[in-house]
Amino acid sequence: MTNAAVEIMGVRKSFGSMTALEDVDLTVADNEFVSLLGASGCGKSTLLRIVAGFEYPTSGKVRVYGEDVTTRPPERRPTNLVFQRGALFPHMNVYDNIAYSLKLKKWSKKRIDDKVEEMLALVRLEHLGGRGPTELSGGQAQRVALARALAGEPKVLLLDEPMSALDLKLRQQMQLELRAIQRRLEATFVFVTHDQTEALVMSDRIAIMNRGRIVQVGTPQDIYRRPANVFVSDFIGQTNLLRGTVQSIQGGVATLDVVGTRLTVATVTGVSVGARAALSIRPEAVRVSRQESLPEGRGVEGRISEIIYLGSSIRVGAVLADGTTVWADLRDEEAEGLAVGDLVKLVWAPAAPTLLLGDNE
Amino acid sequence: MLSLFVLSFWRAKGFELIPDFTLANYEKAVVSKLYRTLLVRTVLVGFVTAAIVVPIAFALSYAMRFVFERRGQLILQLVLLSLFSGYLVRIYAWRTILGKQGLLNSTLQWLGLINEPLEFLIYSNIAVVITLSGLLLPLAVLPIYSALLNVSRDQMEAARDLGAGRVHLIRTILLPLAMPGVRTAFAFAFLLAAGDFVTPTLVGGTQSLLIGNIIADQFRGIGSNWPLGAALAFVTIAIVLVIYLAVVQILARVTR
Repeated sequence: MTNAAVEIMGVRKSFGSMTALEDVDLTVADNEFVSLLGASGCGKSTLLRIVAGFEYPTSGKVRVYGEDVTTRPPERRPTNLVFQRGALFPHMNVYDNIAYSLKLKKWSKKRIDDKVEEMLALVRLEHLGGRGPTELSGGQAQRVALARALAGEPKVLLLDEPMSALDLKLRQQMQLELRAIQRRLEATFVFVTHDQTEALVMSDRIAIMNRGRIVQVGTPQDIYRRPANVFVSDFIGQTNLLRGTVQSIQGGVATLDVVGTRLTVATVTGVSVGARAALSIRPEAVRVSRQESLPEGRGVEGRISEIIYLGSSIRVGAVLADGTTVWADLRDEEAEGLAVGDLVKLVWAPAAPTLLLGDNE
Repeated sequence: MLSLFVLSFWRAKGFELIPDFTLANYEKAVVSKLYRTLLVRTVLVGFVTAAIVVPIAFALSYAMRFVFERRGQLILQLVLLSLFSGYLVRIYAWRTILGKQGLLNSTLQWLGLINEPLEFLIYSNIAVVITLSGLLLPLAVLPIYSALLNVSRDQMEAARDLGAGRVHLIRTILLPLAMPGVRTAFAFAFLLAAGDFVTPTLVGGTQSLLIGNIIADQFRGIGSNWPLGAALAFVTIAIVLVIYLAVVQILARVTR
């Protein structure tokens, strides 16, 4: 592979008897923005620290642009890390923080000046070179941390939840900026986050992690529309899970028995008759109907239990016979006349649901 | 302190103190060969002690902060506890270690590394420096350790990530951030060692008396001369202060 920026091969990491990572494989392409997404404790930060060189894998290999860096210390790796809390050097001003790695590289004064200026412009802090880290706001400090990490022109930039301490508005703005910077520099970014929206907004690809493993890698659309399993569909966005048993598989279509109703869905490999499986449908794909008859294979009956006004849409929850709540996001006019207690049909387009194997949780 | 300063310009006649304004005491302090030798020796002993104590205290504090982490606090308590055992007791403890039949000599002999006890280990300038270092080490650990508490692991990792090797990391990140603590530690070690007169009496030889001994003698017993003692004390303070300030300047320049 010539265009692989980072190759993580069979990486396993244990701390004592605790296993943090189990057999992780991941390839990040040149110029790609990849997010490692997962709940806290899933191993995403450990994986990033292994790429940065702060932890060494118990087994497995890490390559950066074809070079094996598995046992190399961080100071000799072509990667730089943006820390969660910035970790600016408090005894240096903004200029000296950004120039830190450049002075180490013994660049000339002029070249350092130019680079620092370029970096300050990149993060839009042109006039703050002389400020001390304590005189910066949280957002500014993170921008300086970003500038400092990028100044040394790393081959791969690693980011460990750099925005988690910022408030929502600022975070959203910085997400777009960070994305723009990555495109402008044509750089490779590996970004760790627990925030699925953040991952969806910024990433070319997302690797979803759970309990030390990568459970799915794909583009944001892939992962949102075709989650590989119950964990992913539940973790990314809101979803309805209808659990049942596979009755038959015919012509690429599986039929599930969910609370006495037969539902059809495109089959996936590995499904067998009699297996427990779940049907995942996003709330925005569910419509509420008061018609008498249920469309064949793509609807269930329920009683409305909740109507929630969300501003741009109205979320309606209906309870099925087994107590499961199915959520539907409707436009204002679609929700007109609906009331709590109504018996309704919840229907969807034939292509809307995804079949998920297993019934974990 | 002020009355001592005023006193240094007086005269002593027998046991009487006569108010005056004379620089004779200062002249004696500076011109006398004995006092000069003692002053030089005192400054050297103080400086060497500080030069031994501060790096060891820095290494210990570093280990307590970043290697033992949580247990560092426990070690700190133990360090504090050792201070409670008392000054004289600790000097005598060093005598039993450094003595002719002391712990160190007998261990080295038992190991077969030496045949005869090392004479210079006790009643010598080396004995004074070793003992003072042992006494002052806990005092130097305290300020450096507390300064290092302000350095986060993230900051150290960031420096390494940006390409700093170990030496560079210490010079550009750790030392500057710990500098207030290092300064205080150096001041403790240097000033207290230079001012000590008990240690030279107990573990020092005939050639190890420090200016503190002479100053102390000026304030008690037969032949005492308070004004001269005060003048000697102020000369010592001035010299020590100048050296301290010079060292602080040099440290600041190296770590910038």
